Amino acid sequence: MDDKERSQFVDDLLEASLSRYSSVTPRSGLEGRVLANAKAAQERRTWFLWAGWLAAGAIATLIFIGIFTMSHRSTIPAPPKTVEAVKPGVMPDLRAGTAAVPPMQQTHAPRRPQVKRSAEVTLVARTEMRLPVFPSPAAITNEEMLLVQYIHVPPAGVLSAPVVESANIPEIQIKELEIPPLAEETADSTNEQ
Amino acid sequence: MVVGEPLSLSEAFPLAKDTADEFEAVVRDHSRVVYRIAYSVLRNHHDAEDATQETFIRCLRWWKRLDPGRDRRAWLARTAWRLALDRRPKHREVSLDDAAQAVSTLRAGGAPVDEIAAHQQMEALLERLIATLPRELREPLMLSTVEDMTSPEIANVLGIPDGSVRTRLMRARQVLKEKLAVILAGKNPT
Repeated sequence: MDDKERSQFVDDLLEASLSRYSSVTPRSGLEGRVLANAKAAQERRTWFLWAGWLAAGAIATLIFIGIFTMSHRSTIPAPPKTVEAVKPGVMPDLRAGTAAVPPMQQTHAPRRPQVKRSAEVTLVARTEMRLPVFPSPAAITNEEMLLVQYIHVPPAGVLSAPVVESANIPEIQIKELEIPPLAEETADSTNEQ
Repeated sequence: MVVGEPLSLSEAFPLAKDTADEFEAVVRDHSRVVYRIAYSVLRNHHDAEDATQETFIRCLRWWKRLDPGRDRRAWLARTAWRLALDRRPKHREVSLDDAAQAVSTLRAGGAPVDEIAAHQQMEALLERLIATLPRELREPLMLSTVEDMTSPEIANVLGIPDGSVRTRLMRARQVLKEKLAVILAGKNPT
């Protein structure tokens, strides 16, 4: 085979191969499948559009409710503790023995309904907390008050048993210490000399 | 998916009837060339049809923004080309020696050129040779193999001048011919 014939064969083979390269026929019904797919995609898109609008509306409603609630919410803290419970006159005299224990002091002010307060009221409430004494005396808690009451007015039978037992114990007899003289040691030392 | 009975978009589409009819006409006119462009890249019927579907869905999505005065066929060709390039698989490996041996055997047996070109080994060999071309030569050559694609249309798809398309096509065919001659002569061009 000469070069010219070989070159011609390569030319023909390349042309034939390239002409076949993309000369394909799609499966029948391509247009119908494309249209059906486009229809389904359009329906999906419409559904997502509606769902998106609904979701946006719900989010906007929630944001509005949140802003409305925050704007109508009281920013004043709870009322401060009263300092009347720590006044010296109110404290019971612990040295009085059977002194009557005053009723429990309420250290926490009852919670009041939330109402709008002005800033001026807040300042007044805070100044009540500052006493001239440092450190500021703390109010006695309920537990501390119960402990004081227990010590001064113990329940019956708690302290009576140790008192009865102590009555039966005989009195301790203490004799003087007698130390006998060391007679033998004295005689031995005399002999050695 | 509905395949059998013909579907009219205007029946169920939330589009204006004239728009649905127009889109339906576009699909019927250009679906085959879109499919072939996708196939020239993907070399697979299933993938080519997927790319075709995606091309027309995008066309429908952008329908209102597409200028009716512009060439919709060019827009479809460009979109199909880009979608196919995005989905392009790796080329299958083929032994050059085996392909050359098969072609030589067919030629020695007196087989016509068309029969040799239709052989599976020859198709795989050509696919591999095209894949080895540089991108500037490969893309115009692949689009030129699509039926009904003219040189100006190829230039529109690739965004290059028409004269460049012709020059690159000539150069690509020359390179392919040289490589094919070397392979058939029993030498490995690589």
